[in-house]
Amino acid sequence: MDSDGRERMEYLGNLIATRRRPALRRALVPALALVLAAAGCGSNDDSGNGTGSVPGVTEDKIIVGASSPLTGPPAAGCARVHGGAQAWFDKVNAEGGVHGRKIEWEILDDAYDLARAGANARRLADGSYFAIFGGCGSIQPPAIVPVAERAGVPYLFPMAQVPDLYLPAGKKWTYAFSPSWATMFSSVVSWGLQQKGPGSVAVLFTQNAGIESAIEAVKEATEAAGGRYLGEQVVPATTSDWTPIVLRLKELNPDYVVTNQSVELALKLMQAAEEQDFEPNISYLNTISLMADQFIQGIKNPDGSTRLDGKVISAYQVALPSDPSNAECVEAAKVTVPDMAPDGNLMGGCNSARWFVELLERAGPDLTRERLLEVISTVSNEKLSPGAVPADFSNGRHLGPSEIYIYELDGDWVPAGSAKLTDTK
Amino acid sequence: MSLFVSAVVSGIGIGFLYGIMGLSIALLYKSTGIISFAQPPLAMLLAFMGYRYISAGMPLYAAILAMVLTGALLGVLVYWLAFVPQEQHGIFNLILRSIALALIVEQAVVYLLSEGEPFLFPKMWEGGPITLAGINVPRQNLVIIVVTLVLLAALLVFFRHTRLGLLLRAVADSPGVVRLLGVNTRLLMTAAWAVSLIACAVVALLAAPISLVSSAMFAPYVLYAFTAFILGGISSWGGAIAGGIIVGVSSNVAVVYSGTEIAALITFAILGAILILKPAGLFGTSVRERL
Repeated sequence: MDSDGRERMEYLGNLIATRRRPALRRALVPALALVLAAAGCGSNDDSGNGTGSVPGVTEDKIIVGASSPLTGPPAAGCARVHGGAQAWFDKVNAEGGVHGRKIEWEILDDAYDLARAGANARRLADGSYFAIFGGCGSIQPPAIVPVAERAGVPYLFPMAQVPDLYLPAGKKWTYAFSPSWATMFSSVVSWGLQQKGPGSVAVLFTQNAGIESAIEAVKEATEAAGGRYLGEQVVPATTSDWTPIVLRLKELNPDYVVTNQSVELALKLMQAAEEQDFEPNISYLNTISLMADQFIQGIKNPDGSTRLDGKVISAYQVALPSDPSNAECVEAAKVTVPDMAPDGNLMGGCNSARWFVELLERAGPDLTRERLLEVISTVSNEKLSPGAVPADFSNGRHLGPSEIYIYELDGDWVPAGSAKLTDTK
Repeated sequence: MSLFVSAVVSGIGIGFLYGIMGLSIALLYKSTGIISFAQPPLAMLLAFMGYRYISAGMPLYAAILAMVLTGALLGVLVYWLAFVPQEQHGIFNLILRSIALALIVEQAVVYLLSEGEPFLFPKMWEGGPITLAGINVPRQNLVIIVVTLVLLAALLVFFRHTRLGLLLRAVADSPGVVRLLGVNTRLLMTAAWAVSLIACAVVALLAAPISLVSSAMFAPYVLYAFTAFILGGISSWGGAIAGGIIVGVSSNVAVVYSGTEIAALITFAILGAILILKPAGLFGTSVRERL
């Protein structure tokens, strides 16, 4: 507590002591002490690890944190996102940091649990961290965003596909690296039906945050592109047998199947589909979740082709590891996470970190949270990182990407074009 | 019609897996009185160990044998480390220990072994599905059916025609009498755990090619395995298999015709109906207690 706080308490204590209600006085003084102590702790920008007036920023460090799954089913995929981001931070730190300050990134495990994410967010907003950066998973942001907005802590670029990060308008501190599932799927379906021809579309989703609006978006995009919407199946992640689900799909005989399964569930789905001689007439349509090396390895044939060549389209806001624009990320990853084969998740983490570092550079040595926000608002349709789509935070936008890259499966993921994000939901 | 038959055939395959898991629980309950919640995570641990054996270069069938032997050894270790100390504090205490053991094993696997999951596990019979009367039957399903029937036959022989098996049946029916006859009941309990974990190893090696090896591979099985165990009559290991088939078939048919949202509802409604009509389960026997 500072000297002002002590003086305030002393004055009030004396004031109360002169009153003629000794019992009330006995209760009020300790209660007042608690209130003043709490107010004193919250009102001072010097709290935590900050020096001067900026939390989480010292002469030689910028301390940022994240809430993300380090354990639990999504941890394996998220580990790659973390690895990619840490690789870029390590590279920047090895080259002297940002304006002489090294980036220290601490990840708190939320085990993909909403309550734990909320608790982590409160800890991350306690004054010890300059910003909440990154994180992986779409369940957690609804718990983190309100805490960050209330506490005035930048919450930047988590690998999450929920609109809570940028909608409704009016957010100040939160900025998204990924569009919502609804926006992504709408764009992929539009692209697919325009490029491959209109047809019938069936949805097969695993239960996750935001899928109801994603289903609506797929329906609208299908009809807008002249296709026919056949229906949806929403399955729990704990499904033990995918055969009956595949049998239902087979009965529908769709031209397109829109999926959001994680790598593990997608491999089980594809295995059951192969056993039942099922595949969509034209293509599976997916976003992000299958851009992982584990998926490719799981369906690879001995001759290097995959069992689904030409039958899967996916989308991501990041270029492939083999693209020259991601060469620096690949090299950085070889140093920090040499056991991780470069894949979409690794590149996503690295590019989101590149966005963050670029903005810190532009904010200059006199770094404050408000200065960072000023710099973000000046970004207008430009590449913050060579390996990612252009970012646009002008005119009050809090969603960076305005387009996504499209990929087709042919032995590995192969660039097939790009799609504008026409409908931000 | 072919859709219905396909759903039934796939349901039988997954039902056998639920049934073997339920059987491992029933075996233990019948011999020791413990309802163990640790069997699914222990099966998951055995799957990871099988994957490690194969990754280390062991041929598949050698790895399968190693998994079975590891299962037996693991059963012995689990019993002596987790259930022997202070065992006099009653069945409820031991059941709670099984819950704690389940959580410990699950988290230990997540922390120590799960990085990079899921892992592919080779099938025992490679190749595409076999078409029977226009129905695609995955080869792994046929392997599951054959192995389960072999397991059931082996257990039948073990419990009816071996001294150890007969003693296990005796201790399940009258533990006090068996003790009075001077039989080492501790040894019998050890054997029961070993046999139960062998069953877990069998379900692990049958499920791993389908479910992939991951820390969550048996999470979907827990509820259905216990349903099979209860449906079968809790003390009948053959009943557990039958219960598993009922659960597997009803669940899969419900998914195909009604969707996943109400499949679980239908499955547990069937469970409820059977228990109302036959409270002791399909093959269980009612027990009278003098109060």
